Amino acid sequence: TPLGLMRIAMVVAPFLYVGTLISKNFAALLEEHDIFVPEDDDDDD
Amino acid sequence: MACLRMAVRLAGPSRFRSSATLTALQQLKVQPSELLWRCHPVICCSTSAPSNDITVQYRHGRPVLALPLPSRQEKCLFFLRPMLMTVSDLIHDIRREDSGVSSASVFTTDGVRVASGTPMDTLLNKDFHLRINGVVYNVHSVQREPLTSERVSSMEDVKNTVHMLHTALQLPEHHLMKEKELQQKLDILKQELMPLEQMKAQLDLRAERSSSRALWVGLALLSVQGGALAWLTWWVYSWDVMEPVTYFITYSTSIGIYAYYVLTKQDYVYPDAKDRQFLHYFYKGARRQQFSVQKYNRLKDELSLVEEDLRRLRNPNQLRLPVEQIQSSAE
Repeated sequence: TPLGLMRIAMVVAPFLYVGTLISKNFAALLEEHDIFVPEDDDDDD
Repeated sequence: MACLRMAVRLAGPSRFRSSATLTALQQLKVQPSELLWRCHPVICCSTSAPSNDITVQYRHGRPVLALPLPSRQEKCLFFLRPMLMTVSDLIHDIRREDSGVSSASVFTTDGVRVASGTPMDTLLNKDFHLRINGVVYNVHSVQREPLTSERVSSMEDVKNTVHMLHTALQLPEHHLMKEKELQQKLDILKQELMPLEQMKAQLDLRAERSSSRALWVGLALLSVQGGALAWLTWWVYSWDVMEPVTYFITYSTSIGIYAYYVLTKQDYVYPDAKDRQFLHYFYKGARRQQFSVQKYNRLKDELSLVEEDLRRLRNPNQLRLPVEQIQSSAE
């Protein structure tokens, strides 16, 4: 199909980004209502 | 001629079956009497002329009954057609020949009356008694040898030849006529189908677009899920937190696929699922536009039959070959 890869990329990329937005808001929601707060253990080797 | 007539009259109405009293009239030469319609003048000597014994002779391959008629005491030849005539035909003919015949009936040698519907064929197999105006005539019929199987098979050959001749003479016109007829039918069907085809093309397009859109939406949803999980895994929580989440998402997906099977009895494979969606949209559109799918299908089927017939016909028509037989098509 002509420019098939382009079309796929055009669909996947924005929605990927939309996904990240959703998850950001989702995590903020969780944290706001204190449903699930992860222990911030950064730098665990 | 007059003396003969008198002699015959003497002997005619007797009820005796034996021919003992009539030996004097043997070796008689009967003068040709006036021509009776359908009767032939009796020219040959007949030893059994005045007796009550008649033999069925065969002339030109046809059985002939030489009956003395009561009114004028003349013999009349009745040419019998064993296959086509029945007893009633014979009696009718006798009556028609001689209006002086008040009663005519056929009996077997045992004195049992034979029904009028009996075909002459069966009657001529054995001797029988013919009773005219009270006088009983003993009719001997020559036993024909039964048709040997060889003769019967030669009959089959004759029949085959006649059949082939008939087809050879009639078939081309018949084919052409059929072709014309089929062409007409084809035109009618095509005309009926034309508006339906247009509508179907429209519906096809719409349904195709809808199902295509559904596919792209699926792709978008997948990418949304991927993006969300990736963000959560690397930027918000860690994989140890996210792993069970992803596992349960996968598990729910498999539940969904199984539910799809339970509902539709179909495997969840992309092409089939897409076709299913396509049909769904198509029928929805058809219902909205009142497009009768059954009528369309029926017309299409008829069209294909007619086209198939035409194809079968056209080939031999141009090449003068026998028409190929219908092969049962498995639906």
